Amino acid sequence: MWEFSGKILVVAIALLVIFAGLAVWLFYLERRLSGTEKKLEECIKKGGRSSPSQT
Amino acid sequence: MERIRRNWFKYLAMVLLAYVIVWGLLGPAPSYPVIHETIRNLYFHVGMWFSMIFILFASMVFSIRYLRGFDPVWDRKSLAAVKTGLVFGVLGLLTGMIWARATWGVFWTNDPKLNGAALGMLAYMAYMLLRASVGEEGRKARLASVYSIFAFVLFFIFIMIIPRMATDSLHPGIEANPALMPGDLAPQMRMVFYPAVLGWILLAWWIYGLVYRIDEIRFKVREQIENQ
Repeated sequence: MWEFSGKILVVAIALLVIFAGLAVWLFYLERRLSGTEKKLEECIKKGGRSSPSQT
Repeated sequence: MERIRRNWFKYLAMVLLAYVIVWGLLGPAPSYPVIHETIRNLYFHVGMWFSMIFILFASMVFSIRYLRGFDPVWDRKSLAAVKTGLVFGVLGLLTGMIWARATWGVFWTNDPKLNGAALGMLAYMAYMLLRASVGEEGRKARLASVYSIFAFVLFFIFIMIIPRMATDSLHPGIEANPALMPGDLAPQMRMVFYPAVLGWILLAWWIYGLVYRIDEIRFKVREQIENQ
């Protein structure tokens, strides 16, 4: 059923680690974006100034 | 629960792609002449191209919607889709070049399929240049939307029609879509190929959503600053 040598196993593990990293980063980005969107909406409602550095 | 309902396709994308990496690389695959084990790259190279075509098609649909009502949100969605499509296009080209090096001995060769793919990508890079060259927002959105529709048609001609007019090509798919025709793929490969295509498309849609949200934040911040 499983047909692999040591080299391809290393490639598969490396790719899995990269994808796990990508998934973690995307979910982290999503959380940061949700927070920023919320802050921006509050700023817009208050009519306050928001700058790129704040977001 | 709400979080799972909203994010289900993101979890599914990750599960599918993890399965593709593990089973695609370590599971059984038939040994074809010339390409041998590199056939496993099909799950990555073709999957990335499918997701790119899907996301560029979405960009064209967003452009049409913009032109129907001139709501700038649709233009920004179209831009985010093109950005995402370009990333997947570049990844598709890179995985294709690695595959070409392993099977043909060179990263690139003068082949109608390869050149068509590169020209298709250039057509979308021209879209980005067009946007950068027009200052006024409304005019930029109208021009970009019209061009986006044209670019997708052009892209389709470059990757699907012109290569099939050629008499010969090293790249499979001169007669029909490679990997989709009955008999093109062994049954054990189909078990990985179809989930791979779905996984890459879902990942592309996820990334598109993030790119759009980042662009929206930038746009709103700029708007706020200009209104001060």
